[in-house]
Amino acid sequence: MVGDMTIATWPVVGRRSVVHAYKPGESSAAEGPFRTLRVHAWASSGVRVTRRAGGRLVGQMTIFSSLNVESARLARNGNPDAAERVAHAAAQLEAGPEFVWLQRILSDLPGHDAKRVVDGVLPDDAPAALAEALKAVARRTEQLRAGELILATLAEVIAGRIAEVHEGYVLLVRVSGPAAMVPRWMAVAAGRDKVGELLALVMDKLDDASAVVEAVPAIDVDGDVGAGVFSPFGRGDMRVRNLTQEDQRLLAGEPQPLRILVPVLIEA
Amino acid sequence: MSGLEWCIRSGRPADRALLASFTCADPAVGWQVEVEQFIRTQLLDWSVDPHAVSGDPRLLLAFVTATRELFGVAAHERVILQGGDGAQFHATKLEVLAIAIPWQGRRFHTGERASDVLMSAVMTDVSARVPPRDVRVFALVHEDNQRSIALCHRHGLVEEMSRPHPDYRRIVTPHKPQAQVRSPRVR
Repeated sequence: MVGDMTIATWPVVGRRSVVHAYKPGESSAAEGPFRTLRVHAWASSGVRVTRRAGGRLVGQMTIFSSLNVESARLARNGNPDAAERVAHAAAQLEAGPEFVWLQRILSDLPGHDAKRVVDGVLPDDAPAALAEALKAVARRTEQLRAGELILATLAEVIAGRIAEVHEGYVLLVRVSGPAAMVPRWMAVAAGRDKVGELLALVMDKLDDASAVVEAVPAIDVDGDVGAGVFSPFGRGDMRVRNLTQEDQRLLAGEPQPLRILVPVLIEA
Repeated sequence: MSGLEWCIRSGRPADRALLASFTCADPAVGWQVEVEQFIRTQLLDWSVDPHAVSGDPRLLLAFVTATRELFGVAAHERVILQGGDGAQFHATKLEVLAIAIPWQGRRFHTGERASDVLMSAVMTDVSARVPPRDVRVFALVHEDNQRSIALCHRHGLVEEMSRPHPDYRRIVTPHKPQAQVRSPRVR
């Protein structure tokens, strides 16, 4: 169970993800497809992030709103008008205060940490503001996505929290609806293969009988990020009471008497 | 009084101020601070929450008899653990157990550890509840909290369940394995 939350796909992506959505079977590093997207205004220009190491400038990278993945899909599916609208929304988002905030924080991260964040990883020593900025971008993304009805049917997304990890698969528990089994190697590739982490499975239809299925990192738009904030106290978090099949096998045995080491009298 | 060096009683609304000053954490250790903050700011409300009466929440306070110093705080309640297929298991959740900083690692003159006295009080209380609790008791312990993990082990919480979060272990009292496991609806 994941309680009251909105789990969405990771709100920032690299260029390869955009190209992959446009040309699923081709090299996502190719220049041509992205140039085509840009020429037709089916993708935004993204935002440049400066990367540093040891206080020195070591390069730049460009990050994109994940809405570009959707606009690329629309373009692939022969809906250029909607693709342009969504790409325009992505450009607006990238120029907005949430993205600027995120850009500034990423620029201050050392080494390759900014690249890892785009991949869905929050560095251990990342500032708390990074998670907040990602959530702010994710919230804005969901608002814009909600305004474009065609996106609701463009690709099917199963997003949830990993409740069980098995040798060959992870069990993804959604906010509502049945749980889903995701091959573990896909969860590993998305950087989300531990209990409690948030993962999304995107099914991008190619034709009536086939689809591209991709595991991507997810984010709780309302609350925690990634593995999620967890408190062992209180009654609100269902993770405390949820059982795996292995737990059930254990508890199905006969409980043994409690062990009381010191005789104690309890006053009323 | 019993003549013991300690005395245990259940908590009451008037204990709010006492709990608000309870100190059990190193300020530099996040998971310790989390425990302390819960005890100081939420535990009393947790224990008297009218919406949680069915869980029979219990708050226990442990005092040094001679000085009335509060040396430990513990709480537990009945919960129902749920499997993905709808199976349910009754259990007692050890909500919190904390020893005040001056008493951490200390023993009474008669040799008992302060922590063992408090954990024994929890087990005694669980055993005495009416209607009876299931004898299954579990605790969530931060994986870095080796002292509490050792305490749980001493008192029979020795079996590992799945983790509700990568940082937290879920430890339960032992079960005798069944030869053939059926999927019980409620146990």
